Amino acid sequence: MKIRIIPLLLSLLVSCNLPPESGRIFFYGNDTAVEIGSKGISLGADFVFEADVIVLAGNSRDIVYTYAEQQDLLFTGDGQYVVNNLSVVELSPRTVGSTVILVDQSGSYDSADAMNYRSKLINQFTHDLGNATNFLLGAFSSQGNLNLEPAEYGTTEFTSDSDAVMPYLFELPSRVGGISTLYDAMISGIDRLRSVSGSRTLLVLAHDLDSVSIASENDVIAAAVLNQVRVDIIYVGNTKGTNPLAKISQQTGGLFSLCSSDREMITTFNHLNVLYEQPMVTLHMQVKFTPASGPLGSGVDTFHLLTLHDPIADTDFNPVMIFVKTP
Amino acid sequence: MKRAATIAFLLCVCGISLGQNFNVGITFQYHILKQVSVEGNTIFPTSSYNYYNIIDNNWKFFSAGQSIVIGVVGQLDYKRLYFAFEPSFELNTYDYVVSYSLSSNSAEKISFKTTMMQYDFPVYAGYQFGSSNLLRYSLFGGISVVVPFVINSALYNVNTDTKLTDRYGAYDMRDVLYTNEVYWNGLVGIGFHYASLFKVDIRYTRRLGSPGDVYKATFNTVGVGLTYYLPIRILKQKIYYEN
Repeated sequence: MKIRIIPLLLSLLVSCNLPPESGRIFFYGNDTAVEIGSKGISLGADFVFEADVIVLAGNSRDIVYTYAEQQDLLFTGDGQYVVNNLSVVELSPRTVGSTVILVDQSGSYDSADAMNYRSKLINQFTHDLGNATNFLLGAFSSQGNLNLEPAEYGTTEFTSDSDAVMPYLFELPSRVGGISTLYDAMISGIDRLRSVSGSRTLLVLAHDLDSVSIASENDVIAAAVLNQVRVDIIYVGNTKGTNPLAKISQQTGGLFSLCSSDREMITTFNHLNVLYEQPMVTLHMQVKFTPASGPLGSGVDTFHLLTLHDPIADTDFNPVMIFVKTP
Repeated sequence: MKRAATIAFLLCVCGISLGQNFNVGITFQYHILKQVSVEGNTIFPTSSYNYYNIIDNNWKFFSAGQSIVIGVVGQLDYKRLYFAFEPSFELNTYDYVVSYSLSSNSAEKISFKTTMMQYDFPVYAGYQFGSSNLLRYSLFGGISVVVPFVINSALYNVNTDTKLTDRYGAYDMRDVLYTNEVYWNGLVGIGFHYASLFKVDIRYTRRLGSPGDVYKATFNTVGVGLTYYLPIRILKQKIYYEN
């Protein structure tokens, strides 16, 4: 009897060290602020606008922070800012529908994502989408190592089979190079989405700015609005030159995540599916902007850089680029 | 499991009644030449969102893992034949190296190290040559039931990066290289005997079947064993000599 009990106990002890059968490894990121939407309210001597920013916890896939207060918001721009109001609101879920995912293949990811988190994060995201959502995975660059320009796609048709696109997805890191064709690729993605019914989303992961596309950001916005495509942009890099990206996402109802490093990219992808499927609890702020150059005209593009301070960790979150067109 | 135990029991009972000599001993084995091989080009684990490239399925000394075995032996001699049952405890490690693509000109090599405690129950038969001598040799072969318990699964790279588990799952090779399910090994070997006192053998072991269903993995091991037979029958000890 004793002889039987000893190996049984031993096996139980050892089995306890094994992880649960379900669940996959979690990739930790930094807490990340993401711009969700904005709109102009009134225009006079001052320009009053509203913006929604969501702060995603880096150590989870569904927790957001809402503890920021007015003094934690620091706007930078050509003028003075006063935060009139800051509240926590719940926005309705964003239906994801059919999705085109475009990955920037230009240049090198040596500084933006040296450990190639992007492949596994996109893999995670496509698995998160589940069988009910069709997606099309593509990549873009010019004069690089892709077979087609401005964008090539891993499959000919939309699919919900995440496993089927994995070989293509994980082959992409070995084919980086060339220059960015971001806007032309976005037009290509929107064109692909025209053929599908229901909600349409274009998700772009970029780390380089466009200098060679035939299309402009306004062409992208026009095509997206015409075809009812929401453009979500995750950009890894600094704030320089990102105004057009903020504009595209805002004008098409998308989100704009300006990631300082791969750590913010990780957090954004970790939360992406929840952002698509569940109500979003955001920091809703109303801001009065007094331009240094005098009153603004109607229909003017304005860009505002928000630095959100984390009062608990006493650090700043990644910057948030907010685009608002004056009414 | 029950079947193996029954076979072993019957062998012992029949052997003792029919055989000419029944020996009991202890065995030590050290396996250092190993091959871990996974069929295909890539591994997509079920415990993370990684995607590994298979780069090394070669035989290796030490670096593919090691095994240390200690056990007892019950051996029945019948003319030139002998039958042995060798219940053992084995500390078994495997190292398997895969790569993960980082960019167009670089990839990260990751080594998965699995450590298992396992109970082995080999049953094998051998045929002795030159049995009229004190020094003789034999060929043997059989099967083994293995009851494994994975006690650790770790990973490391050449840079001994301590943050490796931020990117890769330590259990990514579960259901690829290991499970906690009972499995079978086949074994063959050549033994060099000194009378009925001790035996040195070189044995080749191959896992029968694969741990997982998706990926076909094979495990081959070559090791050295030393078996010492206890002098429990020393007063009646007879060495079998061929007529």
